[in-house]
Amino acid sequence: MYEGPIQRLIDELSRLPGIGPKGAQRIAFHVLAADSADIARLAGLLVEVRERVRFCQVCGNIAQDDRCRICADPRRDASVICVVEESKDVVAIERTREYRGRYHVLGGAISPIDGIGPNDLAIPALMARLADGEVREVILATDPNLEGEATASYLARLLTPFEVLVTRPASGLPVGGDLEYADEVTLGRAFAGRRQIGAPGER
Amino acid sequence: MHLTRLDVNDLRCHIALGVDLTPGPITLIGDNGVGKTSVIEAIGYLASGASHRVATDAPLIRTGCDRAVVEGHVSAAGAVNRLAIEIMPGRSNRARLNGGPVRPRELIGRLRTVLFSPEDCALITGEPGGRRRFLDDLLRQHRPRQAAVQAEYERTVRQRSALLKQCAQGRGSHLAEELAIWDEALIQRGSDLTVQRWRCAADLGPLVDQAYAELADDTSVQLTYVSAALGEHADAGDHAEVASGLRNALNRLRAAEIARGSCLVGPHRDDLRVDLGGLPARGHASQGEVWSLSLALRLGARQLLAEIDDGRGEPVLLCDDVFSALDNRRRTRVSDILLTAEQVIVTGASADDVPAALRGSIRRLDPGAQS
Repeated sequence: MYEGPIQRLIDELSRLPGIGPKGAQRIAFHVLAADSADIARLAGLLVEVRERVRFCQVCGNIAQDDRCRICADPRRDASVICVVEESKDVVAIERTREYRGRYHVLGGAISPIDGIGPNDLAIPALMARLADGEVREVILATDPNLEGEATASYLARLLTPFEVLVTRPASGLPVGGDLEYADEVTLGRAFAGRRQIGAPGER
Repeated sequence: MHLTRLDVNDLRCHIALGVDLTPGPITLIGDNGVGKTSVIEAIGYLASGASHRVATDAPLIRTGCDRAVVEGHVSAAGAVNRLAIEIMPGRSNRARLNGGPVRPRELIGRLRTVLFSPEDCALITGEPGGRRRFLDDLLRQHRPRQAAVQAEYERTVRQRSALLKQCAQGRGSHLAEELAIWDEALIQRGSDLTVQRWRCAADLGPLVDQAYAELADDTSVQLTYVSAALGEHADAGDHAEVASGLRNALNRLRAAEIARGSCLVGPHRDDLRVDLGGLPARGHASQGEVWSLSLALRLGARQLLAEIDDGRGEPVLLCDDVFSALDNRRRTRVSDILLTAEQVIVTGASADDVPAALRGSIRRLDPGAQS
């Protein structure tokens, strides 16, 4: 145990996700040794992020204004909505630069163990976005795990009455990888979802 | 396949145990409490990703430590692979294969083991849970993808049970729709698990029957996978049939499930029935027959794993203090069978507990003599 603020800082840091007691100690001593201007900037950001960062009123993504950068961009295709669990997923999909539609951030996935039901997710807002009939496709890009699949199935059922195409990204082999190193579950899924290349007799 | 080296750190009473191992029989001798069974447990964990003794990992960790590490060098198909697992209760385990990080489930199947232990009688006389665990352990080693199927099924049951409890309390407003989703999840994953277990039981049956004939007499042994949803006469090897059976059962039990707040049907309620001479062994078999049957189940499992044609050879056999409970005739039969194994690791309190033929290379385990 250290005395005073340094111990309190270690305690606070070790409450953060992904940081254990040893990591917290390392960061705390780095803070002590670092340039005080750097630390002041970090401290300022911690406060600012809480005060200034908001959530987009349309899609629930992290934003600086009422609307996020993507919802405010008129060049984005408003007829396609990609539904994801977290803002982190938006960033991941944006990195591909392949997707030109808009997003909807649910804020999690259905998980009864954690007490998270459909009412705790931004589902009504998604339904509201479908009301005007402009949206033609909804991509359900929740995580490919048990809870993500359950959330996608739930949404797929809810979306049945709407005149929209409901899709889910494929699970499969990592590009540029070796088939032999793929784990059995992924490989199994990839086989189940295999595609025909070229029709028989087509030359 | 065989182990050439085993290192165990901070598991149960072991601080840092390291032993070089050879093919053939290896005998671990030591007083009660020096950790012979823990060595067997460590090897089993490396093979199957779970302990044969406890359902949670916390008791495995030496007092005062936050993790245990087991590393084994496995020689198979002409190559040696280094498998290491770091067991961390409350967090995800970490695994390394030849020094590089991999997902823990990717280790499963690289070392295959069959364990004989004094608790094996419970396979015949005990609750269905023990027989389900036996089948699941075997399935994971036989078809490694099953590790994920089993884990997902268990989680589905937990999620659905939590939701059923919420239904019982009347909380939430979309419960019926939400329950329908988890019904489907249970049907999909539950039918997958049921079919796999059913097929495993079907493959295992003749091998167990044969092993029983070698151990005891030619009374017929039959294994039947009994699905709680379908009843025992159903063909649980067909995906669509199992799925529709599960769906019907869920509809039938809807009110009871909500009242009890738990999942009342699915592979987590199934059983593997063992019949001896046409009668259920549980309740009918004598003590001697129970012993022979439980050994025959393990020997059948060994045969099933030995027949996997990936060139990695037969499983490593682990015998945890089994001989003291056997009469002379069975001792001889069992040791004759074990002697044919590529590697067999035997424990006993003293060398006298182990049949002479299996006393191959004797290692003494002493408290404090660990290096």
